Amino acid sequence: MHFKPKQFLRNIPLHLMILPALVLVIIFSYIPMAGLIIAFQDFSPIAGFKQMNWSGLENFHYLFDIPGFKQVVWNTVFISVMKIIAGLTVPVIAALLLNEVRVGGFKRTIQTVIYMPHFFSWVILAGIIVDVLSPSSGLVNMVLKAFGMQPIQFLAENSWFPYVLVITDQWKEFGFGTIIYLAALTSIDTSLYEAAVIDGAGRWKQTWHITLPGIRPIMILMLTLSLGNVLNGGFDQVFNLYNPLVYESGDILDTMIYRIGMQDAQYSVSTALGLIKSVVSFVFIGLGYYLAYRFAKYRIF
Amino acid sequence: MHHMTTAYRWFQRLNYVFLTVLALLCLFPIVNILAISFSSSEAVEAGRVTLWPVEFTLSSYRYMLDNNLFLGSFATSGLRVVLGVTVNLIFTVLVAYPLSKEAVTFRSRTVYAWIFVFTMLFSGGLIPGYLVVKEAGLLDSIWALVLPGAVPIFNVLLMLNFFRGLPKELEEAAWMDGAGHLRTLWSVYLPVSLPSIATVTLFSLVGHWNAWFDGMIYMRSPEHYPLATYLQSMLQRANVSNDMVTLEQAALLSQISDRTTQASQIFLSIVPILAIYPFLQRYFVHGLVVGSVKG
Amino acid sequence: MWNKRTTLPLWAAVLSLSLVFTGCSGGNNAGNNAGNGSKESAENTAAANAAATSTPSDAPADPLGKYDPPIKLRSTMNETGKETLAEGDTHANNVWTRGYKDELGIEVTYDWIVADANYRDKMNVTMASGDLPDLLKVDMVQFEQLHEAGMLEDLTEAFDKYASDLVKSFYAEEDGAGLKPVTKGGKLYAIASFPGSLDSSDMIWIRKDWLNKLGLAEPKSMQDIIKIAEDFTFKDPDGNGKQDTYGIMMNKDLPINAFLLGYHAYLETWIKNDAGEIVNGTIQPEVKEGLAELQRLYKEGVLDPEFGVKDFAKGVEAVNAGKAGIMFLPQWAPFQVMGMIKQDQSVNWVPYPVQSIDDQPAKTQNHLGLGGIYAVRKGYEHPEALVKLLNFQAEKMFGESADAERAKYNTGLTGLGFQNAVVSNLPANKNVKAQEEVEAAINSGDTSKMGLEAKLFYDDIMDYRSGNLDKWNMERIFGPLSSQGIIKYYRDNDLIVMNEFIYAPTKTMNSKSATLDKLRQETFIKIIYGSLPVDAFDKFVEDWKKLGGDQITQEVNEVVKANQ
Repeated sequence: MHFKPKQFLRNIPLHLMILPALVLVIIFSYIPMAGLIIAFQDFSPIAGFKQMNWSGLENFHYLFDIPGFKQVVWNTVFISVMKIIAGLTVPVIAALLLNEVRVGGFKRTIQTVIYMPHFFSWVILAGIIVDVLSPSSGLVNMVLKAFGMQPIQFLAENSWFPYVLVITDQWKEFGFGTIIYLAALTSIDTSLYEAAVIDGAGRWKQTWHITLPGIRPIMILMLTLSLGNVLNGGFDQVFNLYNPLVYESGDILDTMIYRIGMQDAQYSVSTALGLIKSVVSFVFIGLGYYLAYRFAKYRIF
Repeated sequence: MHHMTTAYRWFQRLNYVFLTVLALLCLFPIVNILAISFSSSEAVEAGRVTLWPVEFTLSSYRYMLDNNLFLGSFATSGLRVVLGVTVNLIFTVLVAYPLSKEAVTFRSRTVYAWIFVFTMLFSGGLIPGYLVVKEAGLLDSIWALVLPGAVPIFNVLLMLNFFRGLPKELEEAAWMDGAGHLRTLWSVYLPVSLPSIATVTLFSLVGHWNAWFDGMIYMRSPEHYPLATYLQSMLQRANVSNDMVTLEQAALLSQISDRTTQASQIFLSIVPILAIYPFLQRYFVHGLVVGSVKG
Repeated sequence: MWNKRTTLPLWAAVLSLSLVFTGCSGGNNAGNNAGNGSKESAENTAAANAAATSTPSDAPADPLGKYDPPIKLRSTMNETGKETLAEGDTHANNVWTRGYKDELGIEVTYDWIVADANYRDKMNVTMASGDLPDLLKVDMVQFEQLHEAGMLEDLTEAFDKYASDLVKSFYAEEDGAGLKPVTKGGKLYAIASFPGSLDSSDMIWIRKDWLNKLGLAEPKSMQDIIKIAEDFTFKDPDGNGKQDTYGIMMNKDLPINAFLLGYHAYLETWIKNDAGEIVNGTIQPEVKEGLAELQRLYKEGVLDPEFGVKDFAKGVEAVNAGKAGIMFLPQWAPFQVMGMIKQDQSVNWVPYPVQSIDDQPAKTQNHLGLGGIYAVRKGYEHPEALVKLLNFQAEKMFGESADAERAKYNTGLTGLGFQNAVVSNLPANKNVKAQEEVEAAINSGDTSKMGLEAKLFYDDIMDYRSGNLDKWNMERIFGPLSSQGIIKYYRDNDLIVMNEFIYAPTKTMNSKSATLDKLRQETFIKIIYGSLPVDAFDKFVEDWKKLGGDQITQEVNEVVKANQ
């Protein structure tokens, strides 16, 4: 730890560049974080923050004591882990496939079209999904029936419901997720490909040895950040698609807390849950950061 | 350009077919919304509309075009996007550049990075956030929609990774020429980062266009709502359930929750964002970056 | 095509301003309640007298007296769309706000205006920020919080002195039940919008044209209802040669009350048992019988086979597509099927009272529905202004000036401009009374004795009868054969079971209801789907009691006793 005056002087502008953002973040993010104390209080909006009714860990106990809490945590983790995996692979594959398209117009059209569903809210998409998956009149089951299979109640069977969530989530988001990788692809040095062609490498080898390593930093970044979502199942989607028949497999932390909040605005309990989720995200992202640094010698941020 | 093997040619054909099918699946919602917006309410209520208008009518669009709230919210959203995206971009670049430096040369970078990332994970929640915005005197101002999210951390992380991918020679050359940090950023980094700038621009644009909750909480009246907040309140209004009691509620809902009108507004609200995409797409050109540098 | 369910912010439980009590009041136990009412009003009068003697006597209170100079009043607004406004008006400046200023000398301004669906969130952050408006429009939970924090003005005297006879008559309905939940220790801390409980009555809507087509008689018993539902499923009532219809429309929220009432089961209702204790209807053995029958019907295909994944809107969509012939909806059901009537005039939805499986008459289960709760911030100098604003709205819509001015105030495309009044209250149970007048006028041809609103409904019905299909709903709500007619039948034949619990949710309700609701929804829907045996109901009852149900029952009994 040697102090290097020259480097210090040279870095002053760097500090100054960060300063304005730092101030904004302190005002609009760190100061409100003081509000997290209500997780340890019996908070009522009217008493506000002036009057503190400390309740210790009561809100956390309340959460853990909810019957079926474990099941809900498991559902959340199961759904979100599958979503994380899908969210990492599907957009990358789509980007690679698009990268192989040589007709510019076709490529741009496909790109624009697959990006569209991102702009529809789950309220709207859920209505469409219920129709498409209907056992009697839905498109998917008509195809199944055409192949002589029994129709499936995708949204009413616990063995299917989580997968429906993952697939429809990708349907909505993969096109948007692809953008990031398409941008990353542009930064790969084209001369590498030219050299590979001269060496006689086929497209497959080029993809494996040049393209994928080229977008690896972004993939690791996305993976690490998405690890933070391990306790988010996707409220809007689940809320609009689930029903009591699939509570067993589809009820997640956020929908559970929502139903509790409907009864009474439970700020303290929902803040307690939020805090738990934040801590878990923090741990996972920290872990991802550490592993990437330890094994790949790469600081993701 | 490339020598094509037979297998690769087959792969290409399959690829085109596969991507076309994917695209058709993704096209479904918008075609559905469009069909509903041009159909009669009765046909929609009976679930008879899927991909093609039934009992074609333009009435939902006619009704909407004299809806000042809807048109006004377009203007608010436009302003929000212009201000919000500009502010976001400035902070993204200003923060990402220093953080893209190696820890060896800029020791504090890692601390800064974690300070920013921490805000992605922990949030004080609705009420404290509101209180801060209120104390800052921003209620009912467009800045309430811009400043609290002025530093888009995700974009910063993305950008700093893109910056790191740039060849080291670039920076060294700039230093040789006697350029300082700001000049290096402005005239060396930015010109070769167009694809990544296009990406983060798109992300903040979409974020601002879709955000609705802050508009509802921070604005004093519907006249100041951005489009997403307006749409949200319109969709939520239509919430009928068995628990509803009064006849007047039922009467009101039946008159204001016309699904063809909702569909036309949803459609019009995503047109601008779809139209902007192709412009940004132009920057996603393979090899633009390094090619131009080396050339 | 999409459902009308809302997308919701995570931490924000968005409720409409109007809330519905799943509790109950005792309309049926008239003696009991009358006792309460008179005792309470005696207390009120006593309090008012005490107040009157302690304050120096001033000029006699004028319910619509004008403030001079004008006073200012800050409030908030839950907007319901521009369709309720006249051309050029805004939510902040419209016929109502101008009327308040010109006639009452009250300048009403809004701290904020927000869509009805987001009102609760916005009110919560406003309450937390400490900057309360003068006139608070809140829900029951917020009311309790404000009251406990001592932030509310006592309105007992203001109401007694200033409420017009008209407004007082509205609140006298159902033995004053509308003000009970907001009366604390004999003092009135708010005024609730009180539409009465009769409109919450359950009924059974049946496609009469299908009955006729299949040569079926009108139902006289639950057995008939079941037979009709089966025939609607198997005998091709739409005559298209395919078995593509089903008897009963259902959705994932399980609106099965009207069905269970046939078994004298009162779902989610606090009822008195023979021992005089209050118990929850959900766990009574009668529910099990009803569920067993529903399970059988689902298996047969009589219920919509996919109802478990459909929300309210999707269920109604199936009805509008002509797939179902029976639905369980309240009095406003005709609004939901207007489209199909306009498309096919042979369609004929007719309401029937709930039917019984045995020789005991089936009764409807009603609850007290309160709309917004209006209170005044402690320290505001003119608490009576709230009462005057209510007087004003009542006068313009139902008083002497209504003839001339109602149309002006009820402006906008919808004719429902009263939504923009800062506070509003509709006379409790007005609809059934209007129906009586309408029916009498239709029978006698004499329209001179009708009230203003009844006359409007009458005109609508005549309009429908001369060919305007847009008014069909009025015929089925207020005509001789209508939902309000069914309600009148319940009322006149003493066929109403009231929810005994009309107060704010108890402590354990707040913490456990979500769990109990989940348990009930999951168990019931699985029983109906056949993935659980009917006997799973017994396990459910056990769990329900263990997981907080017993505790809640005890609290409910205490609260009701304390308020007697």
